[in-house]
Amino acid sequence: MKIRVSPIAWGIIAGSILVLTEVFFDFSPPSAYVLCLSCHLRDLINTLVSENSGTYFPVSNIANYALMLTSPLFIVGSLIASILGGEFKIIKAAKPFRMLIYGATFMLTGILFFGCPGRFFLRAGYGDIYGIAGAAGVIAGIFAVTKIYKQLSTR
Amino acid sequence: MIFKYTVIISIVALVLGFLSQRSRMCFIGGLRDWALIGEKSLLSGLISFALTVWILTSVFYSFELIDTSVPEIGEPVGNIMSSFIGQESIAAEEKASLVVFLGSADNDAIISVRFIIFTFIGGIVMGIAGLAANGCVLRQHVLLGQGQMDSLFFIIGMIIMDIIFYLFLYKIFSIVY
Repeated sequence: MKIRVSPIAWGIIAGSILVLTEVFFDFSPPSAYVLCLSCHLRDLINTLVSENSGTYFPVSNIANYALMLTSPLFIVGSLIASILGGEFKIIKAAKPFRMLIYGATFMLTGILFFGCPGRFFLRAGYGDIYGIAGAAGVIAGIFAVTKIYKQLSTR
Repeated sequence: MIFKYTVIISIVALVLGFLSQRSRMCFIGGLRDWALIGEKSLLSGLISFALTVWILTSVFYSFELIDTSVPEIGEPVGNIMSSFIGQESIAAEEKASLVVFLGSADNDAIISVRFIIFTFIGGIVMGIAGLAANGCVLRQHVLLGQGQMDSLFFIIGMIIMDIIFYLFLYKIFSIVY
């Protein structure tokens, strides 16, 4: 079963799901929080740590009322899609240590600024000034690096 | 109540995980492809996503179905941060030095210019890390679902940093607020 979803369709469907879930199921506070893989992973880990150790790790408000299983179930959803599409293939890690560092960097910025790139764009769509700043930063970072890369490669 | 929200977020995650794998969507990949080779396919997904959210929230704002205060406003001095620093709220003087007050008197919207600048810088760091890792966190989850073990290490790195941050780093980084 091969279902093709264009990126435009993904944007419309995902955007609609995220806003409608918040509105009709009252999934807040904080607002614009239905999808953030960094924050939800933080909430899940922090809930587990707080429950199983004496140390309290803070979570967002909504995580007091829900176990944020977003990250593992997102992987399961992707796993189902890749198996159905015949694209599942285990590929050994080529650069594990570097990926650990990148992941750690991502999480650090995610915790500090309340979002992954997806949530920055979600928050920007909500009209949140911090979301717009974060999304602008992501765009600026990518354009700066690609410009440098292009200049170096043409030398 | 706990069950309801857990079920909702689980269904949303499953559906979006499925759709993201089928569409190969990546926020950073979309911008990278456009900047590097002029390919706009993934970028169109990003734009349609932001536009859909903007249109829907505008409609729901007008019907007051979404909280009309700007989301996340006040978060730097709100719950999460007060948990970091172990106090209920930042002292009024400190708050006044941190923030610029905008809007009408009945609107308690608080804009922290410092936090905007730091968020912009954080976005830059995130963009660079995402480029180096060949995809944003959404794409890394999708790639792990496809069997890419590099992405497993990315997510393990995230988990390790989360624990290290709350054990050791939160006081150092509280300067961004």
